[in-house]
Amino acid sequence: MALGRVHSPIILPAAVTTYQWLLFLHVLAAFALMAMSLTVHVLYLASRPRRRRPSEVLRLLGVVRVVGPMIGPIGLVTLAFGIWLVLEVGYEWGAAWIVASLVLFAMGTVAGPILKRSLAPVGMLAARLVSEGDQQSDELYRALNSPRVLLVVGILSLSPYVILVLMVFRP
Amino acid sequence: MTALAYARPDSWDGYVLVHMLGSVALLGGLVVVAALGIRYRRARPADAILVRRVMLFVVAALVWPGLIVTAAFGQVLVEKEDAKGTWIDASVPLTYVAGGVGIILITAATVLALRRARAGTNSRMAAIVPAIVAPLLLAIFAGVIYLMTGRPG
Repeated sequence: MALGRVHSPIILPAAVTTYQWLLFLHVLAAFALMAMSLTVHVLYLASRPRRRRPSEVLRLLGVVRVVGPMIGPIGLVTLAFGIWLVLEVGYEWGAAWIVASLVLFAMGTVAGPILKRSLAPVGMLAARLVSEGDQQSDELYRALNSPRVLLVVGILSLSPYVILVLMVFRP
Repeated sequence: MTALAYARPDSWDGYVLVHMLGSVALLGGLVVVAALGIRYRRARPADAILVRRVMLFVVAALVWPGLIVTAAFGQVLVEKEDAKGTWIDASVPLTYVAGGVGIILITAATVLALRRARAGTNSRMAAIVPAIVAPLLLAIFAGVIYLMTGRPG
């Protein structure tokens, strides 16, 4: 009895429901996903100005090549805990905010590899320009600012924030 | 979506959204600082100037504003929810103090590293501080997210 009295106040404050664990893991993964995504975009934006030398672009995109591949697996973890939460709480799968979030997530999933493929030639061009004297280059500037890259970056930049708005307001 | 979102009145949604956007800026900025700090902890002075300037820009444009917005709107939500004396209440000063001290360290070390790089030398200590402190802060903020969502007790 005395043992119970001593231990119950210590154990009870740590009691966390399944819903709260799932929510914590979903939110943690979502923040990690958005933080990684923001990292890619900040480094891309930092590499865009015309004044950047090819070696500087290579340095910045080099970090993107390390961080970028982490986004896919973290996204899957976020999605998995999100789906588990829907099942746990009993939300309707047809709810507009859930459908819209899944569509936006799918768009991001498609856009990520497209961005990777679009930036690969930019990296090769920057490496070639470094070996040719590392001078500022309009060709590199145009490659970094091509409509395709800008469109994909736009989709990848905006979709997580729209999903966040949907998650908070649940229209 | 937070535990708050599950049970809160709809009128709080705007505050929660701004609180979470601030958190994204804070955590995203710290990931940029951690990634650049770890990758270029032993950069040549020429590379270090670019890297430290990007890091300082991110600290000024994302990390500091993110910390202030997150903590300020977190405080508003604590008062609206009447969560005084709970883990939720305790997490706000933890965010202010740990975040504030850590980010001051990162800012000072990055300024010092940039000045050394411009002088053509390297400061190993100044370069390594952001690489250690930024991941440490991310771990602390993961704990804060646990307090926000798991709400132990």
